[in-house]
Amino acid sequence: MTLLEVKDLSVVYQTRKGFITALNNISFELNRGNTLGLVGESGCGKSTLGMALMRLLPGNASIIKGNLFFENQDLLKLTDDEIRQIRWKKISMIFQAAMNALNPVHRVADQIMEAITTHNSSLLRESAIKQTEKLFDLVNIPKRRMTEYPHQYSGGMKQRAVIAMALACRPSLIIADEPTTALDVILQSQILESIKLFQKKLNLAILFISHDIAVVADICHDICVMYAGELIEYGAKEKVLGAPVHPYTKTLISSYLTLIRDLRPLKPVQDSTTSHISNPDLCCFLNYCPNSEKICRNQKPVWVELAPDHRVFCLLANKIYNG
Amino acid sequence: MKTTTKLIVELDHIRKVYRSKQTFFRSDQKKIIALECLSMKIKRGEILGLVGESGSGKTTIGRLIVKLENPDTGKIYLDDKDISLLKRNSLKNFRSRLQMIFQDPYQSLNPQLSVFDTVVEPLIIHKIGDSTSRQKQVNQSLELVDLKPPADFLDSYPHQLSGGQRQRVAIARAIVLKPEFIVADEPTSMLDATVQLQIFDILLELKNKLNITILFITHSITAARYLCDRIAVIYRGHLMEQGPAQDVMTNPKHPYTKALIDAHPKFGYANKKQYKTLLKTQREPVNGECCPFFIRCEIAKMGVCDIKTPELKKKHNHHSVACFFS
Repeated sequence: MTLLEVKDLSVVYQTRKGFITALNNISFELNRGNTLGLVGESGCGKSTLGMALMRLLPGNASIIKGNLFFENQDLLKLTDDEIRQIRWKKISMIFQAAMNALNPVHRVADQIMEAITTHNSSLLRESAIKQTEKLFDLVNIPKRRMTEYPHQYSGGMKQRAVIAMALACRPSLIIADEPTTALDVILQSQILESIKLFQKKLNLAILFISHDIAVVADICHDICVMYAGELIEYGAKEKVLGAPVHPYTKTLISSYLTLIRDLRPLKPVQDSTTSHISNPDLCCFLNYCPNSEKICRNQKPVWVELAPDHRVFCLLANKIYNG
Repeated sequence: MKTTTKLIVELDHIRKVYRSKQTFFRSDQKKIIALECLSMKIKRGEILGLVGESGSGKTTIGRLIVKLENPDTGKIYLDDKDISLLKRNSLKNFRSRLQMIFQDPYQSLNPQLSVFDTVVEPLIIHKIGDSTSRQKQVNQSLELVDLKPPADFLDSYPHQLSGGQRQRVAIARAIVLKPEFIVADEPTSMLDATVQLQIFDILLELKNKLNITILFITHSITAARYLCDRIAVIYRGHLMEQGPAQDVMTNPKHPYTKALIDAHPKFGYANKKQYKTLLKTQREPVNGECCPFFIRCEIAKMGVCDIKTPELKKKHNHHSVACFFS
């Protein structure tokens, strides 16, 4: 059952140099209990998409087009008061850099309780405390540390506390914006294990934003690959990562270092943050694409459906797919 | 350039303890042991990878070697000379031979200096060359780090550059003095996978072209495998395992190294836990001497691991491990 449907979403930022397209015609669906991974390099619009779903975009950003259907309700048509009812209660977020997401002058348990009580004002203090205790259990933090301040926590515990806060109101969708990026591998694997565990327990849908393709491969069911504000490949994990078709997805995967594969991967793409978006009517990866042909310089790419659960935004998709 | 096996840096039984500040309200000092009796040798012309989780003391080693901090006990030698004896001029000369690349390119560059000013600064401080030769040296080092053509970047400021370009500027600044030794402290942990690879290739090129010795500090064991000749695994200030990169990766001996390899997400090989060592077991800590990894180790045995600290023992072929059960 579809929980979230994003349709043709486009977001632009207004800057002194003019408008910059951060998201261009993004469409995808997310089912209840599923995890959708959003991969791409920094600056490709992943976080903007997360913020747009929460309706927390900064003032100079505007959604120029598209719909966001959440439980068959268009989030973009709601008033500020109405969206406040949904935010955190139904859609919550694990922010990037959890180290800075907690308030240093309040006890951790109080901060989580605050999230519970603001959205449920009739709740008694005792039951709020009980709920907080349950949340600490769920994310594996000992109860005796509830009354401590954030600076007494280690990095991994802070991260788990932030996850507990996101779970506080029993949302049905969590947007996790690079939740493990600042952690080392051992902590990362522990956090991912606990995310998987409570996802099963609570039947949560997760939108997992990351630039680490291995983490996404570990935790997600479906994967969207983004480049320069556009979705370029979308489908089941096994298809997108097992048999990638878009040239960018291929370079992204080949630039990932593994423990098992050959030592020398393919040559990576050039730094793309400087000069993409050369021509908005053509393919966004054109300048760096190793496979580009004449047709790419004359025509806008189209979505090619290779399988029911595998779509690629590339004119040459069929050619590459068939070898 | 003469011999490749010659030592360049040697750490001899280094101990470093950080003490928390004494305040008016708190007179008890908390001691945090960053490094405990650590000995290590770095050979000329190699890339040594220092792997460990956060808080293990990796960065402290880097900072001690470039003499940003001094060890409490123990000696550090550069080419057989004790660096703790260096003063004024000899220290300045020493600094021009050792350089450091920091973790976060968003913080290590001065936002008020242009790329040219940033890269030329070491030359001015060390009074090398005149303005024309400095210009040339800056151009050369920018080309080495793949910022081509250099003229396009000389006048830009850090905020106009992407993360990868900033880190390249930081590397250019480190190599402009033609140092013999570079400490690279997690130079890519803030960057994307595609950009990471480019930085690694630059470091490899520095090693091959300029014969620079690099101490590469990282928590990513795959990065160490890709880049390094030798790998040293460190845990809570103790050296756990050390050996040729390929040996350590394919045939890890220490349970902690195995756990590090397991923890790495195995993309495309889902859920293949090679060594089945999730660090879930928590034992009660022991007072006094014990194996530093005792409380988290799965194979530890009472009566052995909780009464003695294992010493680093050579297994074979330069591969040494500090574990009783390896």
